[in-house]
Amino acid sequence: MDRRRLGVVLLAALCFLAALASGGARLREQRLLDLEASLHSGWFASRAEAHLLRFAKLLERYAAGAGLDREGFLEQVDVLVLAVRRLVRERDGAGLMADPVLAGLALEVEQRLAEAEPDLLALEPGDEAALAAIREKVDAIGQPLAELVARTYDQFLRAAADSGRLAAGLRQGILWSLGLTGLSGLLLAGLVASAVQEARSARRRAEHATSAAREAEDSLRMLVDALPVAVTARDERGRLLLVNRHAAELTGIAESAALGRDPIEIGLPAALCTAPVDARGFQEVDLDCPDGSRRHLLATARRVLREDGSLARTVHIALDVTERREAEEQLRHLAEHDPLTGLANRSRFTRLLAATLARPGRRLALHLLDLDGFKEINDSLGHPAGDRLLVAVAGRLAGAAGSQATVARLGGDEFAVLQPDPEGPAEAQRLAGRLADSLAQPVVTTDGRIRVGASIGIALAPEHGRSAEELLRHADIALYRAKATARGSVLPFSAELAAAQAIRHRLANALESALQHGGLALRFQPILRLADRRVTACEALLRWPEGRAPRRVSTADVVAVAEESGLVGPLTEWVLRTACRQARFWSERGLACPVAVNLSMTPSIVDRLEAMVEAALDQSGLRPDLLELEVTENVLIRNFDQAVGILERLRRRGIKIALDDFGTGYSALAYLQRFPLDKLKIDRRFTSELGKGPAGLAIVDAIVRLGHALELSIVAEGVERAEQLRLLDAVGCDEAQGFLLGAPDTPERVLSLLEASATSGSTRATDRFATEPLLASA
Amino acid sequence: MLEALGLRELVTTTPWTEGEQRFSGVDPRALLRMVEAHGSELVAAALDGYRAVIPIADLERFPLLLATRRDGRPMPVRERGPLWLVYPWRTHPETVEQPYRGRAVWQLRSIVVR
Repeated sequence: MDRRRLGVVLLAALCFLAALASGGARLREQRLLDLEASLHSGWFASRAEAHLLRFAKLLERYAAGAGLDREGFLEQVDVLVLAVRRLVRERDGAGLMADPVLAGLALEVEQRLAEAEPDLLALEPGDEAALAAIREKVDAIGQPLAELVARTYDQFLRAAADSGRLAAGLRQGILWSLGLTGLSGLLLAGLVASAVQEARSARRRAEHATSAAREAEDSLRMLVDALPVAVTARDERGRLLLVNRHAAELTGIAESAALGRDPIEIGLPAALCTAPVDARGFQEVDLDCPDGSRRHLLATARRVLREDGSLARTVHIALDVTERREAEEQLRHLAEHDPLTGLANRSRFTRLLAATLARPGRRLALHLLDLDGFKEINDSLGHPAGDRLLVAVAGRLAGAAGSQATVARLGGDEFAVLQPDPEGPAEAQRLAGRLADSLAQPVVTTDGRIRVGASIGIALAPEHGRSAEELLRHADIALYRAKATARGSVLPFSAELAAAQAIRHRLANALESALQHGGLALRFQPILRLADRRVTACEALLRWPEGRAPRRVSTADVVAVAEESGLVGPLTEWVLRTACRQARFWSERGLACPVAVNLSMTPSIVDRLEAMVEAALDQSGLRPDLLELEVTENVLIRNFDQAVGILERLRRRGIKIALDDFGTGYSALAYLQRFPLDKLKIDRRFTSELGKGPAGLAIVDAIVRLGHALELSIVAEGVERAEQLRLLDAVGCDEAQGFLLGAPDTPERVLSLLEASATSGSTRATDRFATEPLLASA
Repeated sequence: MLEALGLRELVTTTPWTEGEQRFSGVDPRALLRMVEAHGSELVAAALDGYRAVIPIADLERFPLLLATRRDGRPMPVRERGPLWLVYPWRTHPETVEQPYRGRAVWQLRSIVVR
């Protein structure tokens, strides 16, 4: 039976089943089950036939030595044995075995297979001589099997006709269904007559039908089932003719339960039966599967027409692209989002910013955020803790930003917020305030409570820029200034900031160039012991290159510029190296004078400090006790424990440590006690107050007493008047430096000063050298 | 080799045969663990060309057995051996029906995890 005839038979059966179903559950009785069983038997027997055909093909190849090995072939014999045994000995065959004629045929199939089996088991691969005899025996199995298949369908058709009459009789009394029943009866009768005739002629032709045709049919079905595509076919009335394996798996509806039914009635998802027919291309549809998953399908449908142009079938095809879609989504998400926090990443944020700016008349505020002290947290608690902190911060910022704004992580501890349509600068400032406040409470993670703050720079469009690039640059300038101002500052961009930034930029260029081309020099300022006015040390100070000194630049700015431009490391190395070489030169002339070098204790310096100091000592051959390092109080608020460890080790090498600018920073006395120090340098602001009133003296006096209590030597900076020197003497200060005692000078002039100091035992600053722009070294 | 993963026993009826059968074999989850395979479904292929897709979820929902023996003896191919993915049809009657029925692949040749 080919597909078309099978289709007609099924159609007849299905129409009848539909008529029965519409009549009510009462009619679903034993006869109906019999009918289903005989339909099942027919299908089942044809499956066994398909197995045999497949086996015959394998046999030809095996005998030609081109296919399976012996073990594989024996397995296939077993596969065939099981297929036949199922007809006779298992439940699937029960329907067949209940009928004496069919049972006889089935047993005959089994018998003939048993007869062929010894020859099959003995067959060697490539033994074509034995093939002829075996082929005959295999064909002999096929004869009763083909008849079995034909008779099964025949029997099914008779059962269908019987049931039809029964159903018609039962329903005659049911007035409301009379019309329907009559109609379906008529239809059924017509169809059954034609189908029976078809089936009988099919049976007559069965023995002559070429195996190629059957094989093609079987292969087609196997192919349809093997396709990774859901396929359903419906007849011209919309009833299901085919549900392939993939469609059954997707929907959880077995083909056996679907055949002949209306797809909507059995709950076949619309995705698999409502795609527009013959539309070009595919329609995308989502399907909720019985297992709870949602599959994404590309669906399409085609009409199959008969020769006369009438509709025969509608075939729906749906390709499951869920995994591919998920992979694409994931790729896109990865490309556009920060995998750690799930926030938009820089690339996505920049695109969004540009797109927002492209809309005419659009106002927006761009907030750039940078966490304060994140590197220290990362360094002390480890990167995993830093990552957890970033995730928590991302959540806080997203909450504070609200639904209108977009929060992104641009990288590291840098975040950005795009605020659309702010009313004005004040509203942008308010949002920035909320963002900063959201981080005011310590972040609680598995690593404990971590206090973190953020500095924020704001740029507004269109006032501060019309392109994404310009806005980002300006917000960054504002952020930079905010960070330099104080932790947790919020600063909007302004023209003044831009000007200051331009100056810093020129400064950085000048610094770099000077470092590369030897344009830097050191000046040395003497530090005198007050008791005997002898020079006890010289502080090395960086002199800005001749004629290239940018104006109005503070020491802090240079340090900041050096840090920002990555020059602080090379600069510190250069200063250490040059200062040590100079001190070694003096000591070779019998003038052992310690040299004091200022250090900017930024993280990039702290990490490499010991190595840099060792290198400078090695290269110069200077004794470590002739080197003093001056650090500022900043070191106390940064990574205290790390800094203490490093300075402690340097001190054990004999190097002296001085705390510079004491009294201007954040130092807590408790820290001071634990800090490895030799000297405390009183900031010039306190020195300058000396002689102006009792308060100034009281402060210096207190610092001196405190320092002495901690067994530190006290140095006063910025001594400019004789009165100051007298008062410092009076309170017991140990050393002093300043223009009164000696301005920073060239190494040569300092050499003569040292010689004078060594011979006379005392020195006075007699000359006032032309003051050049002088800066503390980095 | 497979049996080295530890044999378990499952006594059940089957939708195809009469009476109870005593299967022994290994837990498919143990097999997946051993080969360190990760995926959402198994594609089981049989010697007769049959293929079925089995969601990994089935392995969690039902005590499945990758049966190597029936009544203590290895199963020949003609008795659905050498491997049969056995569902607990008796204790979980829903597995007798589709879609589970078609997933109980016998004469199992290969499993691909994807």
